[in-house]
Amino acid sequence: MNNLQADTRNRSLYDGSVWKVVILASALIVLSASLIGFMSYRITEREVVKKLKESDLSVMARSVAGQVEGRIQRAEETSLLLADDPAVTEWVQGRETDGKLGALVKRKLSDLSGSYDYTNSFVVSALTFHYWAEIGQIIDTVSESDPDDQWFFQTLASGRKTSVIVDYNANRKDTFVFVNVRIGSGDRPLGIAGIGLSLKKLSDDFAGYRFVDGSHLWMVGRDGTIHLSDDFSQTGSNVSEWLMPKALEAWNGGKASEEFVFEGTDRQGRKVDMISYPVGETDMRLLVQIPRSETTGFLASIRNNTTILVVISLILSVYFFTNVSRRMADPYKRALQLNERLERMVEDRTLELADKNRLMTESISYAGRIQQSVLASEEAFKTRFPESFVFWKPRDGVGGDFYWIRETGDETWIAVGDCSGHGVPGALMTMLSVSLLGRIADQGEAGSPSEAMGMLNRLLKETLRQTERDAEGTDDGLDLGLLFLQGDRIRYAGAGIWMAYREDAGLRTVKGDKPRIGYRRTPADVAFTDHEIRLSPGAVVYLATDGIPDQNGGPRNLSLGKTSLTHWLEAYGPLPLAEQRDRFERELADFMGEQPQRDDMTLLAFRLPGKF
Amino acid sequence: MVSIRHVYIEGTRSTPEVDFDPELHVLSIRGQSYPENAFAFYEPLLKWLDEYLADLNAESTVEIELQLPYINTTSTKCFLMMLEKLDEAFKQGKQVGVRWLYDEDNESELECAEEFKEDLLLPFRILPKTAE
Repeated sequence: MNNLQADTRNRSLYDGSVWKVVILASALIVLSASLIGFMSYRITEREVVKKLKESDLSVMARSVAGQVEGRIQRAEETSLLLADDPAVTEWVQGRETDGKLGALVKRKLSDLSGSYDYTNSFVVSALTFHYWAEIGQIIDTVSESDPDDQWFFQTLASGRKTSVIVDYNANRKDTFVFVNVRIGSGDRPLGIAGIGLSLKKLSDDFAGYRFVDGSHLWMVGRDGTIHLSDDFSQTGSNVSEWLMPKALEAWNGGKASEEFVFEGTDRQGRKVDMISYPVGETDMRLLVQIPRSETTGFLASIRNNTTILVVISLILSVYFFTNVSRRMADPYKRALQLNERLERMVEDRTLELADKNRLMTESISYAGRIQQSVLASEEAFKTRFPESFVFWKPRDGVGGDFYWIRETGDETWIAVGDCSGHGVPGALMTMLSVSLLGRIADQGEAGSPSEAMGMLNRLLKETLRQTERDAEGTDDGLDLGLLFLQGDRIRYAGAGIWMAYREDAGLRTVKGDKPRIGYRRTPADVAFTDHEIRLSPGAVVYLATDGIPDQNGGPRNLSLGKTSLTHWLEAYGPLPLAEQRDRFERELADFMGEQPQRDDMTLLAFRLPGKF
Repeated sequence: MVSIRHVYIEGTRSTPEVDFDPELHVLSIRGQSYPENAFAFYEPLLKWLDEYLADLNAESTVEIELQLPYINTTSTKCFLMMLEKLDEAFKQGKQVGVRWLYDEDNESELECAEEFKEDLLLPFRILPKTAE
């Protein structure tokens, strides 16, 4: 395998699919968490702002206004008590001459301012126009011509029992609320008694009312003057200085006597919610301003928590998915890695084996050359029998089959053998067998093929030490067909070899003996049978080893069988042997099909001279 | 008899299926036999057979069932050894018989069976498979 393939395989091990899943899943989780966070943020924000506008601002304003109103209310009540006090009425009616009553009234005046936290307390007579102050002295005599004293005459003329006047004093930077109550009843009031109240005292309370950072609380007069502010420095300035145009427009456009809510921006450009709230009978309005950011400030924690949640779930999901996917993917990955390693091993082994195989093949192929040079060559047959063929096909390059020819005197010895084993062991056996056959032929002591076979049996047993009882020797031997040819006479002895001859009359087979040569089971003195046949000129002799009839193939994958072999050769009739060989090879190949060769195969054929 | 175990060997391309049942006394070998080293395959079976036959009493009837479409030379030798052991037991008076089922289209198998039968005394029936 080359590097490219290895790379591809490695990539497939660590491909991005796991990460794709993780990223997708994480993205989904982050998206849904963000969406939920965003939605809840938006809904909560809307509800909070709605609640602020519909109730919170109003409640705030009402409670602050209530404080102011309460204070004025109290001043009113106190003023009423003062004005309706019989001592006061009597004293004023008596043109303030009664010294006893005067002392009582003066003490009352000073008590009110001293003990009850009022800045002023006063009694003004409509008879003498004396203005009696809390210090118990006349500090002024009111006159209709003095604009500063107009309040007195207007209050008297108004016909109302009580009136409240708010007066901003720029020098003192203070707003005073004067509660004026008529003394006496009916159309002719005796004068006015009342109380002055500094709102500066409320200013501290206002600072305390500051609800949140950036919020403002103003009490604003009809002309826009800020009478009270949570921030003292703003007192006395006009509200238009502090409101941006849009908010100012809403402020001015709204009905002063009713509460209303509006939005705007402060000077820093931040969004603010505001309420205009009327304060009692005073012509004043409360303006409460709360930055939106403060109202919705707690929503930041929702946002932060959502962000933290998203981050945590992101980390968890990445961890979870990578872990899970790794656990799921791991065995697969390991299998792939193992497979890779095995493939490499197989590759190495294959190379090793290929190398060994090449060496062995070379060695066997050379052994094959040796075997063929020891066995009779086909040329030797051709020299003796011009029309002949040898089909010699060892299964493994070399094999246990052999053929052999030898001229001894006026006889020709022809043999076809099948030694035990295939391949190299078979080949070794053929070497031995051929060599022993040659020895027997050279000794010239064998008068017939059966005798020669008996001698070979003994020699082989001796050579392979099969006669020794406890020998380690093997149980090897061979099938042999041996034929002595002298003119037109053949003598044949065989064991395990198929032999047939064709004459004019047709093909006839010759059955050999049962015992094979050399094997332990075969006794050393076993006798073989000779078959003597006189052949007509042009007769053909066939010898075949069992590798041919035993070969499997055909539609049922059975052995070919001797009968089929006989039929094939019968069908060839008098055809020239070269052609017969071609047909035989073709038929055998057809029969075998895809089946491997089972055994070594030899088919030897030769024709006697002459025509039949 | 307890010591003798049931032998079953699955068949392969080159070795037959073996089923030696000491309880039923049926020993069967079915399939082609052409391993490179036939002795390695048959030696344990021969050893088993020795023990089995040694323990076998005269009352039990043993049937050896063979179906061997092709056996190579070395396998043939192993079968000869096996059949001789059985023949020996038969000569000792044990009831041992061979039944060979051959494929009628397979001439080599029939020849092979007949060749085996020639040397043996024990009952040796050669039957075409279709007769089953």
